Amino acid sequence: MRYFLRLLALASFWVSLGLDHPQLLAQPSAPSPPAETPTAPRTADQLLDQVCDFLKGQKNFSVEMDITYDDNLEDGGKIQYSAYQTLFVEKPNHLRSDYVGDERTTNFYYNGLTFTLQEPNLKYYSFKTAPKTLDEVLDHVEAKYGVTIPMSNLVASDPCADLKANVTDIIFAGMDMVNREEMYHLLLLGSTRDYQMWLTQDEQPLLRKAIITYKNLPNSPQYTAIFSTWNFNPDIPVNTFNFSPSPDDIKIDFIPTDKLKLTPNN
Amino acid sequence: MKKSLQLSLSFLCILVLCSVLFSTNEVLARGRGGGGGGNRGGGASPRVNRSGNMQNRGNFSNRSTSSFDRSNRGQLQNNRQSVDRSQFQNRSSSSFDRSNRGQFQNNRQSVDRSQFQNDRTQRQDNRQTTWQDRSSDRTQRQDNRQENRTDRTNIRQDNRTNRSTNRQDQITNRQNNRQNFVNDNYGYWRGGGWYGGGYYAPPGWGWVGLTTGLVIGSAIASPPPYYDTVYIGSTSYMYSDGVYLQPSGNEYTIVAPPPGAIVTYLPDGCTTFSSNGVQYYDCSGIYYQPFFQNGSMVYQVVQL
Repeated sequence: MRYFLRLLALASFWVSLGLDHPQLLAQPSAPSPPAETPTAPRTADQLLDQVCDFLKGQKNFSVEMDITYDDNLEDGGKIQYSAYQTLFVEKPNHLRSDYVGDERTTNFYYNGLTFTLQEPNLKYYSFKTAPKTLDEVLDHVEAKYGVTIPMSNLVASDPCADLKANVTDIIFAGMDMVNREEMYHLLLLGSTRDYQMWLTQDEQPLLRKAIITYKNLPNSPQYTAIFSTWNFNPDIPVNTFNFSPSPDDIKIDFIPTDKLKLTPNN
Repeated sequence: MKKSLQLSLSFLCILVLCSVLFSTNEVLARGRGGGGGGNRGGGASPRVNRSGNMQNRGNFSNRSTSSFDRSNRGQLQNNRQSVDRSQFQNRSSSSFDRSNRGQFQNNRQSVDRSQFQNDRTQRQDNRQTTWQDRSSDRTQRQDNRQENRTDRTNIRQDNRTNRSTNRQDQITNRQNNRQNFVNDNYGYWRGGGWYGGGYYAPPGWGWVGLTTGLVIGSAIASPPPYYDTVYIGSTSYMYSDGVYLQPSGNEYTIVAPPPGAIVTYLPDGCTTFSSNGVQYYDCSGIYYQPFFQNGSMVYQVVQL
């Protein structure tokens, strides 16, 4: 009887631990590869760490992404736009983004000294001197000129730093498909945004799809990127990061963000 | 005969040359932000009214505001700690609950047993009566339920018929409104930019305001089916296919393009020219200068 009571107490302890930390209960459904493979993920947190650490360690890479994002209409409807983007990265100070979308087509060049924004169809471009590192230049162009490079966190020196700082809970959602292939599916809960990530089941998992849900915006619009053609040993042509205007190209100016008039809604 | 053949061939060549030149100019004009929609992301005229713009999203955080986020995050942590602590404090008050529970047990023991026996008899009688009442209630409820079900079915059928009629009425109304809008504003929106394939030369506003002398200040009955709201200071304007309007009463008045207004697309048919090394667009006398703003092309109304 005393033996039974001890067992009961032990069971109660584990149940209460599970109620306090539901993610621990969710873990058994997560993949638990054999212990002898040290790189194999064991929990959702470890899986995320494995991907983040790997990306952090990559100095040069290229990747393509297919993007869709929601937009709200004034009458309450929701509409979706599309784009695709190719990134070429040489850390710590070279970046090229070629973005073709429903709403704009732009190329962004950063060579460690200057950054250039180009509209290739209309043959307009503008350039400015730039900070010395990718981390600085991404902050600078967004703050001063409102230029954002989608998924640019991936090219930062610590790709997941901002993500992890914003996330309060990581949940393993299951083994779910992206383009007919089964992936690890994570849900990361944040204060203003939730994130979903689909990671390949390779020994070294890779980010294959990401969704950002802006849950504080009306109708909680989502931004989706599907990644393909990851290349961590890319053969990047010379001058990929330098823009050389042709005689047809016309230089125009930026309107800095501090010159924008505030609207009554702001 | 030979001479007339030569003349015909020459005329044909000139005709072909002219048509090629004309179409090339138009393509060039449209390619330069003309908004014909041929170029991906070249600023095609939007055909919907949007309440937000998500194209500049798509990062794990707003990089430029990350320091702000971090300070807020500290605040969040503080809040969470204070909440947790207060919950913990409440939890520690359970000793107070326990002492109350002891008091409750004492009270229960002091209840008179004979009184309890009497109560039990009374409760049995009551239970019997209640059972009979409940049985008749049940029959009544079944009847009611059946009536309700019949009523609901009838109401549902009526609603369905009403909805169908309403839907048809709405479709008819919308079609009539659209036709009325076209009829009302046919003189202004030549080419049916809002309902057709877009303007060709000349663009809407310039044609309305300058070429024909149709007045700035004239009003239309309905708002354009799609428009952007642009601001100059605290004054807002509706912008649609090169035309600027402001609501006045129940109508929408065409106003002069406000210098400084920034729009994301131009009407079709604008031409480009340079002055002092700066490129401009001439949209039938309305001049625009191209800029990059928030990573996209925009066009600002300028006075030259």
